This record gives sequence, C-alpha cells and structure tokens, in this order.
Amino acid sequence: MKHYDENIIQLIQLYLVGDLSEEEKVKLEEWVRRDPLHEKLFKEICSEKSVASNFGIYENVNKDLAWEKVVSKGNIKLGHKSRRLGWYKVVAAVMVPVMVIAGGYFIKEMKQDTLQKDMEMAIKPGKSKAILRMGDNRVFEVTQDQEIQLDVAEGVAVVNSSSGMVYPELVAKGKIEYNVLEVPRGGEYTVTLSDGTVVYLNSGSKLRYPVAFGEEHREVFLSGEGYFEVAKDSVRPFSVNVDKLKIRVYGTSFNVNTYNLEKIQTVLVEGVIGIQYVNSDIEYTVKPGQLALYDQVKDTMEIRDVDVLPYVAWKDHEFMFEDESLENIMSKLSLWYDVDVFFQTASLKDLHFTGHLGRYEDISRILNAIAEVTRVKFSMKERTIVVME
Amino acid sequence: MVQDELLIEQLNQKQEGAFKILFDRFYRYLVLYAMKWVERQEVAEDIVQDLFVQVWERDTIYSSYYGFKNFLYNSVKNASLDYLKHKEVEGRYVRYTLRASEAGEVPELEVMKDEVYRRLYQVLDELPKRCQEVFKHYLEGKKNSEIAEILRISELTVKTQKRNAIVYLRKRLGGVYMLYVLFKVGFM
Repeated sequence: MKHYDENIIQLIQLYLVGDLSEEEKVKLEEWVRRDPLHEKLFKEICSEKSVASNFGIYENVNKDLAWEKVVSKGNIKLGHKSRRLGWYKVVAAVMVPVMVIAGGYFIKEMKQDTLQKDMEMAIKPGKSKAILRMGDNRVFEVTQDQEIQLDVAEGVAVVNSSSGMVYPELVAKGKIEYNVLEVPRGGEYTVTLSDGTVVYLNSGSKLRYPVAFGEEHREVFLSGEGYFEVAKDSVRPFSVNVDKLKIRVYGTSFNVNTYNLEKIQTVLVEGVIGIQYVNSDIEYTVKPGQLALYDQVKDTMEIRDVDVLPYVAWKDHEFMFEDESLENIMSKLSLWYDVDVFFQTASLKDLHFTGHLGRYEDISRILNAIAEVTRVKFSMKERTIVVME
Repeated sequence: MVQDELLIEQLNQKQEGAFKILFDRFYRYLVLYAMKWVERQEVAEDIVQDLFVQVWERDTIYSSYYGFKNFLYNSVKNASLDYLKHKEVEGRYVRYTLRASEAGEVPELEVMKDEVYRRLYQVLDELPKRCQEVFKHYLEGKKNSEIAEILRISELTVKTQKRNAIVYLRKRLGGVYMLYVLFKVGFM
C-alpha cells in the first residue's frame, strides 16, 4: 500500500497559508516533480478557489448537536464524568503507554486531586509584560495586548503591539540615548531594535540598548536570559555585554542565559559568534549547535556540541528539558509562574527529567507528571511550592 | 504520530473518550465531503452521523489511524452515491454525478488532498474570531488594504493578525503543540 506522506501534507498546508521556508520549498518541489500524479494533485490544490467559502460551511456545521444525535442513535452510554473529564481520562490513558516505552515505569491514571485545584486558582502562567525605562527617568508599563505608540526619546516613536515593541530604523548622529526594558518574573517580551535585530527576553531579565545605534558599532547589555536574532550589518559589529563577558556577533541567532552568574550559557543557533572576557584579547569562537559555558568560579570556558532546542524552546512558548535536574526545572518554573520553591528534601534536587510542556499550560500538569513517576510530592503554602518525599 | 495510533487502539477497545475525539476531528469535514455528492447539508449530516453510529456499533478492528481515515472517506463517498441511486428524483445532474464518480475505493492521493483541507480547517477553527476573519479574507486572495477596509481596522492590525495566525498555524500544523506532558525519568 502506498502511504501518502504526512510531512508533505504539512508542507502543502504551509504553502497554502503562505509560510514556506526556502528549505521546505525545495522539499515540496522535489515531491511535486517525483510523480506526474503528485504534480496534478498539487495543481488542483493550488487552483482550488473555494478554500475560504468551504470553510464557511464547515464552521456552521453544529458538531455538538450532531454528537448528541449520534449518542442517542447509537445508544452510547457516556460515563458519569462530565465530557471535559472524559477528555482528561483519555489524555491520561494516552500518556501511560508512551511513558512506559520512554521510561519503563508503570504509572497510574492521573488523579484530579485537591492540590491541582489549589494550584490552578493560585498560580497562573506568565504573560507578555515589561517595564520600559527611558533616559529622562520616565517609566512605562507595557503589555503586548496594547496597540500604542510611545515617545521614547526626542523625535523617536516606538510602536507597541502584539509583536512586541518595535523601534524605528534610525542611526544616531552624535549622542547616544539609552532605554532599558525590564521583564519581571512571570513575564516575557519581544523588542525589535533600531537596526532590525529582534530580542526575545525571558522572565526576570533586563536589556539596556540605544534608542538608535551609532554609526560605528552596536552594543547592548543583558542580564537574565535573551534570544537574539541579529540583523546583518557588515559595517557596524554587534556585541552583547553580559557581566564579565562580551559576545561579538557576526549576523546570527543565539541564546544567552545568565540566570546563574557563575555559569553563563551561550548557545548558537546559526551564524558565528566570538566570546571575550572583558579586558582581554582572547576570543573563543562558537559555531552553530555549540554551547559555550563560562564557569566563573573556575574561570574556564568550555565549548561543546549540544542539541540547541532545549535552550531556545522558551521563545516559542515551550519548556523543553533534556536530562535536566529537578532543581533547574523548578527554578525555571518559579521564574515563569512567579512562585517560590522550597526543597524540604534536598536530595530530590538531583532527580533528572526529560520532557516538554507548553509554557501557557497549567503548572499542575508538569508537577503531576513528575509526582506520578517518582516519589516526589508537592504541596502549596501561600506562593511557595514545597518539594518533599 | 504515537497518540493517533493510541486513539485507534482505544477505539478498538470501545473507549468512548477516544471515539469522541475522533468524532470531533472528522465530523464537520466529512459533512463537507459528503456535500460534494449530495448537496443538501441535512442529508450529508445524516450520512456521516449514521457512519459514526456504525463505527461504534460494529466490531471492526482498525489496524491503523491511516486505515481508519481511508475507511471514513470511502464510506462517506459510497454512502453518498448510494443515497443518490436510491433517490426517487432522477434529475440529469444526479445521473451525471453517478457516471463521473464510480463507487469504490477513493484513490489515496485524493484522500491526501482532503486531509490537507480537513486539518487546515480544524486549525483555522481554533483561531480567535478576529484573527480568523482576517485570515479568511487573506485566503481568498485579498490584499491587506482591502481587508482593512472591509473589516474597518487599520492595515497594521491586519498585518499583525495575519502574522499571529501564521505563527499559530505553523505551530499547530507542524505538530509542535503537545496535548500532554511527555516525561521520561532517570536517576543520577
């Protein structure tokens, strides 16, 4: 039996919504060329004019009413739980075999205990919010729900909308003025700088940058965690200063994490970067797919190959943990959900986990998943999550 | 995907939760699909409802998600053609339709085409209303300025909503979205 390819379905869909990357385009073209039948099919899809009008019919089909009819016609006995709970049950059941394969552990069905309800009430995922500090000591609170213009310096208006804060394309002649964007715990924010560079800031981070970069170089200062997509500019080099390091960038995407100042992590997704100690000439070159780990206590720089995804998934609204300690996982959760964590049993910090979760999911989901497979228990006191055995 | 196959396994064991999920995924698109032949929406809805009742009542064991999908499309097509055959009125249109599409297996590439649309609609349907409006016009081939005028919003808003929609669609169509936490545990 000739199976059609799920990946090709995705590519065609992305083509239809107009968001196909170059690489994907090549793959799709290759598939289209492989077989005249493929070509015919693709042409049919492209010439289909009724996508939007058919969606109108689709939208208006009442599936809830239809479901009631199917239930009564087929005499289907629904469980005593509500439909929503029924869905949870399925999710839990789906989870079990997967986890058995993955971890070799037996897991009971997910329980809906009181802890979960408490947490859902008290703890909310983070959202887009930040504080903008301007040169003249003015302060603005921004969220990405607002569509507004802000005068951030004389004659410079910034647009704030759902895609974050966008600075106008400008080059400063003369004095450079700075803005500071501070993202609190439980927040995240995106800012596009005057050269087109996009910076995603994670919870508890701060970025200091010029309202407009000068003619010679582009320089910003970061604490916390940020993901940079640096715009190419062969004339003006870009550098990020973090504590005692300077990261020199040659048109590139990378993630810098300085939450733990003793261990600063820089991960490169594409392009080339060089890392220098402040006041030193030695530059360490980092290539795509590599992590540069600066250990401040030992004063060493370690560069090694890693899977970059777990380091950058946060900017795409995901937590991704790859063999990560419970201590690290809890500290990431505490920043995003803005809660404190207390380990009553210290040895639990060294449990390691692999997995992922949407950042906008409820925190109880991840804690339940951990509690189900280990001896770890969680309880809540005010805004502190207590971890114990 | 693993969870698709597990849904089928659960359907084979007559778990009603899995049945409901599959119903939610396919019902509306299959109605649209039946309307290729039967035109009237009530008739199409009856055909698809009866099919799901059968899925529940019969003891068929489905070997895979893929096989299940093919079964649904085939059944809807054949039931629609059957309906036309048994209909009293024998208009010219009916005869033409019958001649043009013979009953039998739907070619797999045809199924693929419908899967493109089914999943696209499913994800479009999840977008917030405002965003969806903008995107529907965009799919009709309208320009940003035209959309802005029709919906009485700024072009900037059109752009942002379009971008938001694409980001969301890419995530969902690419299967990045996870419905459950997948965890593996290891001890140091």
